[in-house]
Amino acid sequence: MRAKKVLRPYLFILPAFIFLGLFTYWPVFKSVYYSFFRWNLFTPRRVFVGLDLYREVFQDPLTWKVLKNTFQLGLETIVPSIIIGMALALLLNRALRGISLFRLAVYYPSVLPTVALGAIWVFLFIPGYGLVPYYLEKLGFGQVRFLEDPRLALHAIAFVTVWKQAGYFMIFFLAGLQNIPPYLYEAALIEGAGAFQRFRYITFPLLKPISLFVVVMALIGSVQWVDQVFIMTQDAGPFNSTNILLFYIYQTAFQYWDLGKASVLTVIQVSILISGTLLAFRVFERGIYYERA
Amino acid sequence: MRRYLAVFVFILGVSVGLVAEPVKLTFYYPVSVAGPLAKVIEAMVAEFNAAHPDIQVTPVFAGGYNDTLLKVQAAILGGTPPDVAILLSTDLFTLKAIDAIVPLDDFIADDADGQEYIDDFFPALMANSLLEGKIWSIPFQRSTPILYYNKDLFREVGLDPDKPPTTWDELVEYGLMLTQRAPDGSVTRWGLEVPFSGGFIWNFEAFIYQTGCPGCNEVKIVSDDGTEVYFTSQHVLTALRFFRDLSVYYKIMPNGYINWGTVPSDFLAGRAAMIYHSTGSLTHIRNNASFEFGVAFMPGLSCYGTPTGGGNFYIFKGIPEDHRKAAWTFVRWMTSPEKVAEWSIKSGYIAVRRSAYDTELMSAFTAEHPEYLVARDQLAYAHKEFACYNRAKVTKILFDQLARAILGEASPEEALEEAQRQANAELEPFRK
Repeated sequence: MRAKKVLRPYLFILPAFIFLGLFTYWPVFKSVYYSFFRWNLFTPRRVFVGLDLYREVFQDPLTWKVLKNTFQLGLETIVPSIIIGMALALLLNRALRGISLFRLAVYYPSVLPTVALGAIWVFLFIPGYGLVPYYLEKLGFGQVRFLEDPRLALHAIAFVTVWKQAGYFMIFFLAGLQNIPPYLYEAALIEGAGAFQRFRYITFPLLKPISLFVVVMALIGSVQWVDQVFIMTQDAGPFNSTNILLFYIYQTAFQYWDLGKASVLTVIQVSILISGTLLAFRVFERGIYYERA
Repeated sequence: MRRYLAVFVFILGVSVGLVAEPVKLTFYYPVSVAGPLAKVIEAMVAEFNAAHPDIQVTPVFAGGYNDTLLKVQAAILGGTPPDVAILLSTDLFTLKAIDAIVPLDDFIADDADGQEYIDDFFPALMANSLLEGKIWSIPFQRSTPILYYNKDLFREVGLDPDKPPTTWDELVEYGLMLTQRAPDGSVTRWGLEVPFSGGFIWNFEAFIYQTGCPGCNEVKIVSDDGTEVYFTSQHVLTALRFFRDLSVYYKIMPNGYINWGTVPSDFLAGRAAMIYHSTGSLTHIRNNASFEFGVAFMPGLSCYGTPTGGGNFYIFKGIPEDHRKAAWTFVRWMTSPEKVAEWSIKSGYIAVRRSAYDTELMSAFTAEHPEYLVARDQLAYAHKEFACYNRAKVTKILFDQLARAILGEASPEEALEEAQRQANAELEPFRK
């Protein structure tokens, strides 16, 4: 009887666990295992080499460039998308005729498949007559070549990503804003607080839990997408200027057929994701505490 | 009587059984140019199946070339290789390295007209199939870059629309005339655009081959066994200097990255007066050009020159003998002159066999559209496409170094020496 009671919850999570195990934990385990083997075109039958591949990967300047790109892109997308997302939420959190239409318009880019919007932006960025370079040229900026210039390509991708995910974050902030009890604002108004003071002392602190949640989501998300790079800058841009970790894994495994090295890179990627997730857990715990207070 | 009947029924049963059990083949193919080509392939396979009751081919559309190679690789690792597939002609070394394919010489020898069949293919298209004295693939969907030029713009600047440039000097001269600048100096129309992006050196290869000539000054940038490259040769250096000068010195071409996909759009929009692009784009350009355009050989330095590109049929290892035989029957049927002609007309690829141009279908088509013959005639100056072991990585290395030189971050000599050094490191393990 007691055994049954103990077993029951495990029975409930079993289906989920089977799928997670088969399609997440087992492949991760396999990647770790393969990362100790040389396994490429020249050695199609894998050979155990211990930590050799790790040494090679960390000695390769390209690895560091890719990691730098990955973090730079993370920074360039997370900070602006959160600020813009919050600003949009503040703007759209009011009773206005047709407000849902505005919300829909802002949210819309995040519903589009990344592949489709990547293709749209390639078109908008075409040097000479693409919408963006065309008007920049009219405004006297000269000929800007966003996806062809190694100094600009990564920023262009960051821009498109911000455009896509700011609306998505806006939804979270909007939910957060609507959870703030209106009586706090009423009290503040009675006390004679101005708009900035209301934001600084009520809105901002009370949005903190949701902001932390969004930051963590954005952090984890930023190492997981790759579609923009794939579509907008084939082969990771001029001089690998848009090569980020996930793309580099794809390239190493499926263009260069170096499966051992790709496994090492996968281990790095998984480590980053696990750190992000651990961070997320700590933040969630704090978030819950905050709400109780 | 009853016994005879029983025997009769038995024989009938066996023969029905034989008929009902055709050899089942899996055929992976990619589609990498615009247009509903998957439908064309499926229709051709259906026709083959109808004509061969003993063979049943299942076509599997597998995405682009690299996706198809990926699926083939995965299938081999999983122990269920496809029987036959269309992959890049330059994938030969990769497929050889993972021991995935069989040479086709025995099939060719077994066919009464085998040698005749092979000799009918244009030699330049066959060149990428040869390794270690054997034939490993059969050309099917092949292309070369060619020169497209806007005849209206030629007239506008006072050039003869029927005389496209034939030499590098003329290319520069015409390019300078055709390039148009706004009063503030910004370019409103480029004289020339040559795709240069995505680690793709195909168009640049043309410039290399144009610096030599077959028979007298042979250009060789890779050894026949695919283990050595010659990036520091005079041919590559001359090509790189000229390619750089087009944008840096003469300023008739945009500098740096030029996207493969936007070049035809630029041409159609009148933003580029001349472009180098695949023969495969001819139908697209013909259907969308609002001006009169011409097609010609790419101009040369000492000679015309072009690489070939595209996909070939491969037959795989680890499949039963009857499957291999059936696969060969399928390949022979798909590359019969009539089918080659049909495929060429519907896709825009070059018809890979000489005899295909003699078919009624093809002669009627080319009589109406003589521009489709330019690519065929340019084959006389065609070289095999650059291919070696670790090809993806080696071409990426060369591409990045070419880009360094073009963007002025290194001299052409330095860049090519660096490319050679890095490529050597990649190829070293494959040298026996």
